[in-house]
Amino acid sequence: MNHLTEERLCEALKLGEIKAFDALYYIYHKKLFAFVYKFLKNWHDTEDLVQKVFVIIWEKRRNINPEKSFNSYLFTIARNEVYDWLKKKALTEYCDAYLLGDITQDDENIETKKIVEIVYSLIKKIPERRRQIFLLNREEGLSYKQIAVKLNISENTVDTQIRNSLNFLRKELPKYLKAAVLLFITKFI
Amino acid sequence: MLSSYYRMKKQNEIIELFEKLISNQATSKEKEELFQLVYNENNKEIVFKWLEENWNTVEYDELNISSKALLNEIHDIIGTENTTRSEKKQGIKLRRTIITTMKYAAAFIVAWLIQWFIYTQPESNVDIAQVSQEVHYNEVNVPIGSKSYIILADSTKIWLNAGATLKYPTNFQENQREVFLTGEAFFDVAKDKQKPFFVNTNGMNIKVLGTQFNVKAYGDENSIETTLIEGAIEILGLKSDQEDESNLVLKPGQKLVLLKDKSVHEVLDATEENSDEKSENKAIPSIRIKQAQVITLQDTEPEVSWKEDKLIFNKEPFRDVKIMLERWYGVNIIVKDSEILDYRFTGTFDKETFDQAMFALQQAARFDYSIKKKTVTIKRN
Repeated sequence: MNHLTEERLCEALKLGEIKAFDALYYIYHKKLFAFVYKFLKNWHDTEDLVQKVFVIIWEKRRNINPEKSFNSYLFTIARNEVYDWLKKKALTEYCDAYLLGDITQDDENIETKKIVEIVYSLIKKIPERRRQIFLLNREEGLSYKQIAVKLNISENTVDTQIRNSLNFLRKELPKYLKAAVLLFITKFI
Repeated sequence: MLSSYYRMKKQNEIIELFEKLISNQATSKEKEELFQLVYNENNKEIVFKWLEENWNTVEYDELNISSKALLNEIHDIIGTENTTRSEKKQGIKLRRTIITTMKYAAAFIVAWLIQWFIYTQPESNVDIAQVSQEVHYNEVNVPIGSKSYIILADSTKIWLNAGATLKYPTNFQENQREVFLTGEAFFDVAKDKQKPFFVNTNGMNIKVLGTQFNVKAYGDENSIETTLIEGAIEILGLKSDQEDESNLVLKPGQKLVLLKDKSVHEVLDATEENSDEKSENKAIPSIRIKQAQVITLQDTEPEVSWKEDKLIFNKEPFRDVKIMLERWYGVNIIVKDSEILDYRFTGTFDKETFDQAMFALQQAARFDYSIKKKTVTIKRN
């Protein structure tokens, strides 16, 4: 890449010249796309993230230092975005794994303690009937059929209610857990 | 040598875990490890290095994507294709530009402090009375728990935080633009050298030429603050020394904090109450300032994050967090044990609901809380 030209392009971009932005886009968008796709492995998500990165480039154009390499600048922004995406994925998958009962509770572990507490407080928010069915399955280990007989409802209803409970937890848990992990007390006075 | 061997081993393990995460092959045990990994800042460097290696080696010559279509979509978002687009589109563009100036970076405050002294204190109330006879005013009151955004006749944009009140003329006068604020607002003032823009609060008056800044002047707080993001603002009646004629001018990234003289304020409050029946003039008692400080911020994002639906705390005592939460969510928080008020919190709420926020606070501080309608009671457990 011709660095002198890129420096000029960055100078023009800094001044808000959209043509310079477009030129830099054409130089780098394929590299960015391929890079992001390596981690997201999904065309649609990759498009969204590539867009987001270029929008940030435009919005923060005044911060660009034309003397420094645009390649590294672009990478830094892309890297942070990809890292955030990976963090989010790790969080969601962990929550899912926990809810599907794949993660066994380890009382010594502070993170699992946290998640258990959050799940219990969320379960309290499930409508009573639905919660009852969910807990009969989760806590008392009754099968769908046993629950259906016990409550005199169809197995289909049991299935729907448990599925709804799980969907609710899957949706809410990551949000609560994220806030709980990111917030901390600095010191007691 | 041995330690570097273990470090290498650890790095490889971490990267292997991430490889599994992205290819959806992680077992539940590995997902648990990953979850703990990503929230440990120490591992960030390793992941960043791995990402960089990928950036340097990625192959893309064969890639076949619809470049033009993607670029068009980007143009749509940033709204630059055509400058004569609708007002709304321009609003989005401008708003986005503002966001950029403040995003990212760690939330550290206070690099160094400069003391400023106040020699004169403008009597803003008198001005209000005089001006309001000639000019018609509109008033916006933002309820607790919500936010508002308005564009004035001169295309100045103002974001109002919960509990704020803004009084502004329906049409500006010939020679100046003037608004009156209680509470918190973010201003993006349209440039007009012929007509300076004034923001008046009870205790601080600001002169603006065209710029972006935040003002916080709630009646029930001990301080009045303004933070400059871009451009320059002048604080009327605030001088660095007696000989100097010029007013204090803030630079971008600086924040001015005026501490109210509470004793004076309270006395005025009391006299007002006593003479309440006699006086028809219910003007707010003008506030006395006892101290002024200019702080240079390393990051202005926490100051204006409320605009983007974010609440950022940086070692903030709960007594302040409480006020922010009350305004933000429109609730009333009762703290039973006063020592909770001194707990200091660090963290960010990004579009969290009140429930999620309370839960996170409880997790961090280990207190009990109960919610009844719009009142939350907090006590130690």
